[in-house]
Amino acid sequence: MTQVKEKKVGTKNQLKRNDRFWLGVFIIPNLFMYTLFILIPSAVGVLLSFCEWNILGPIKWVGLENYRRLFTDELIMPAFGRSLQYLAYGVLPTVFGGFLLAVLLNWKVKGIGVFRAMFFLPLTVSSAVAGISWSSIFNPEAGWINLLLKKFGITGPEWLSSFTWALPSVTIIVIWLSLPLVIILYLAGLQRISPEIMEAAALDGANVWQRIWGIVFPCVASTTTLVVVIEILAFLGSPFEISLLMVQGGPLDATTSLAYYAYKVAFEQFEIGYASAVVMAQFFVFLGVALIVLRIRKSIKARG
Amino acid sequence: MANGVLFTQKRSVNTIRYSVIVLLALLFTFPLLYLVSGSLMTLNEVTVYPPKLLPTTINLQNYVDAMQVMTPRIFGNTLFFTFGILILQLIISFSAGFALAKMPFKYAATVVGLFAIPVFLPTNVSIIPLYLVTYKLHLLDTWGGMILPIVGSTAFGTLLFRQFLVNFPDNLVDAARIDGASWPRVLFQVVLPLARPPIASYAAVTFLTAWNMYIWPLMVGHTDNLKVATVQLAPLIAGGTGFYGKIPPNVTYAAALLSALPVTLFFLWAQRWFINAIAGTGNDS
Repeated sequence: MTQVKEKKVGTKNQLKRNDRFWLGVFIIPNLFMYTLFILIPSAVGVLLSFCEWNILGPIKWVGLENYRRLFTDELIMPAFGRSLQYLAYGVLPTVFGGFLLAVLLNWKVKGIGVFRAMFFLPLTVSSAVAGISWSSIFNPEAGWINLLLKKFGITGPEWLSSFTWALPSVTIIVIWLSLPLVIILYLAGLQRISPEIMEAAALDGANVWQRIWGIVFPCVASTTTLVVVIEILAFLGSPFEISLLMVQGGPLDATTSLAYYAYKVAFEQFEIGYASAVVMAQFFVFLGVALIVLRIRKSIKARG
Repeated sequence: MANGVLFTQKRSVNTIRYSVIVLLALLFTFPLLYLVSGSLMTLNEVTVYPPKLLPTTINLQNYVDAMQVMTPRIFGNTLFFTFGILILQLIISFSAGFALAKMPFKYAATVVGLFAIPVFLPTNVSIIPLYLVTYKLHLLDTWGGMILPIVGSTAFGTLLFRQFLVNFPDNLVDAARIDGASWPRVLFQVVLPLARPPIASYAAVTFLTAWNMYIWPLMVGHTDNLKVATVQLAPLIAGGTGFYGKIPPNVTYAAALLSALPVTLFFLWAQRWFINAIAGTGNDS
């Protein structure tokens, strides 16, 4: 395509220099900003993970020392475990729940637009607004969940102020914030299934539940892969913001994920080098989990 | 997929399905519905035990009080922050997307590849070094430091616009070029008017993201004249303690809703563009 275009536009040779000038005007501001604020920070982040620096003093190259420290740091293993817990509790419910809701909402019926919009709403609120509205749900005494549990004779936990329940509570809020995107992606995926497949499915006698998982779900496999990767990123990143806003990592670090721990090391202990190594560790967790997901996807595909 | 294909056409099944949707929608939006309800209650109503679902009278005084939290200044700051990011990023992303799609040059593929890198990076990975770069540029506590580093994440917009413009008819561009139109003229008068769909999609996503951004403005904008809505609201969150600060919960709810109102209304109005932007990402995967 490039060759063909070159001939069409580039016939007037004297325009060439002019072309290049405008090419520069169009591309360079973008590349400059992108390099300065994305590429350089990323590279700096990698390099700093091999250094020791407290922002004020000089930068000292320490080689793999920060990475060695990762293995002896008593605080990092719990943070690592909590990041995995966020992933374990969050990703699958969001993906499967979002899929089922999309199937339910994929219906041309009067008023469906209103209900779809209701499911999209959490997308529009900031974490701060989500924090305020969920505080009234999770309040230990007057919160709506515990009031409901009381009706069934159950004394609910203290949710965000309980060491055991704080992490699941934060996870629930992140699921709530993440579901709209998943529903939208699956709704788009469902539109692309051919009507013939759906008609064939209707004829083969299986019940709705079997048809949803046996026929519809495999048809949106590419959407599922995308959604799983997006949600892994979401559950590695977003709990940090919610936890920071609602419980500041507590109670007793119970909601401090790897991302939050890195933030603390950087901005409370001012150990920029070590914080960068923690961030790299988080990146490798993502890479590892994503590779496992893609491997599973591949083996499912291979089986047909 | 028509409605009757997956689920049976029977009226009873449809009634059940409809009821399930209504019930789940109400349950799902309950935290926000209660926020609305609570924001209209008096202080007695909102703190009474057991709590009430609905206010007895509509009490709009809370919204007047909430203006002390969500001051015009805070709104102005949030608007400036959001539109600063939106406009600057749109200009540089659109022009680069255009150049990558319609101005063939040797390294186009390399540049496109460069923009695909952040897809693999979790959002918070570069926030520490990004802060350090901003610090070294002496941009902390300035509007430049708030806005410019975020403008730098041009990958999404550039790739979105490039994708759209690759499919844009070449002959329209060529015809204008042969007529002697300069490149900026082609960009502004030929391509831009026909590129409204991706611009709308891009604007919808960016508006939402920027308006709701918290950690970056928290780290960079310490001074009052840089405070955006999320940073102003954060200390009002009851969180684990269940206790609110100096500001009573009903006023806090009203302030939260005031901060969310512009973006929620905008979303309901621009929903289609927003969904197109997201759905497009899944298309060619």
